[in-house]
Amino acid sequence: MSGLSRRGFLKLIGTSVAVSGLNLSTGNKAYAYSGKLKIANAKENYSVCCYCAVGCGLIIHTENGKVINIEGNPDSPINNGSLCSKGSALKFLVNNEERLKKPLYRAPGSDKWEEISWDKALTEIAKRVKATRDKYFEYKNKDGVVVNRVTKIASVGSAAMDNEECYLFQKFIRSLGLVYIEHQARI
Amino acid sequence: MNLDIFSFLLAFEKVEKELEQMDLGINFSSFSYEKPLLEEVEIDHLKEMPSHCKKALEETVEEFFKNHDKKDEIVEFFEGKAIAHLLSKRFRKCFDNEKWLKAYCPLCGQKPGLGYIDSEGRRFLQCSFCAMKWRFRRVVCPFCDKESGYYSMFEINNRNVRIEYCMNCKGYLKTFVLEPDNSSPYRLDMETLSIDEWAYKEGFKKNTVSMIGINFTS
Repeated sequence: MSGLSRRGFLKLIGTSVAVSGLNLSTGNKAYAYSGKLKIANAKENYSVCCYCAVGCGLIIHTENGKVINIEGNPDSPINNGSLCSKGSALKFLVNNEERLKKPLYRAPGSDKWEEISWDKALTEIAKRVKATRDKYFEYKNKDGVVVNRVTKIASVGSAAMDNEECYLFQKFIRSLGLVYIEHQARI
Repeated sequence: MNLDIFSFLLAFEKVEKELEQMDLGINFSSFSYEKPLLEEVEIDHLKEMPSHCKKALEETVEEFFKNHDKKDEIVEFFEGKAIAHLLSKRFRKCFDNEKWLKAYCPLCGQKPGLGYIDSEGRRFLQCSFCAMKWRFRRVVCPFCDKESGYYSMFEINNRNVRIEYCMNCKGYLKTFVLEPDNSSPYRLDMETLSIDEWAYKEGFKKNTVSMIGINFTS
């Protein structure tokens, strides 16, 4: 054979040396390492981080329906596989006995938290916002200029909200008269 | 016949090492990332293996395949394989991983024989013929291009090896986690043959031949 022609070379691709009745001997190297099975039948799934509006891609590993690992998705154009410190600890959001599942309420002067329903919690929050707003609402400042503002409540927006939710939330708090409006992404 | 596979690999790798300085006479810069290089670029005549390498290869084959009746074909096969491996090493130096991302080899168009996951979680596939490495998406099966994501993880010889398998096409790929880039693919494949057995028993099939190119299914 005088060198490899292109055609001859392409012919080789995908072929193999077929050796009939081959008996592999591995000398001293033990090929028969049985291999320790560490994780059986795990499944990888794509997901998106629940924390903020950046929306970092995740790969979630589950074994028998239980989350065993969460890592950044290296193919996501948003985070290229990296996660912030909060996102890196996502596994402990899922498998965590301390996780809050219901709203808790501690009455003034009490030393105990008690479970309450979402209905009651939201009503209570609304009641207090209304009371504070009504009590400290300023119609005019000390120079007599109309200001229509509340300076005793501040809003720190949530990073988990998307653009449209932020728009609605901003409408709502402006209508209350808030002037101290901040967003988590700026902090 | 009896084949001492690790001694053979040692001899073959020695031939490959001697070949390393060889001038291939191929310009990789015109690669357009649309079709595999060997289909796209006109290679009229690949340069011949230097005579001392060829001689060493012939001697190696003579030693290890004593009773085989088609030694010429075996020499031809391993000559092609050694040159293809060298091609892939040169090609990788000017290859942009982000521009390919396909399920087959950018050099020769073959399906992958091994997989790797690096420290940043990126997945690389390695061609079963020329040992070219290229980047691919995680979770997706390289044989049927569907999302699969099933795997079982083994520890062999202080290595973390996963069998990534697909419930759709029943194909599997042996994937090494945090493996150094310069590990010999032939050795990695041979040293972890025991988990191929596991995959066969579970009913999955290997879509490619072994990395060294010897067919073991006898």
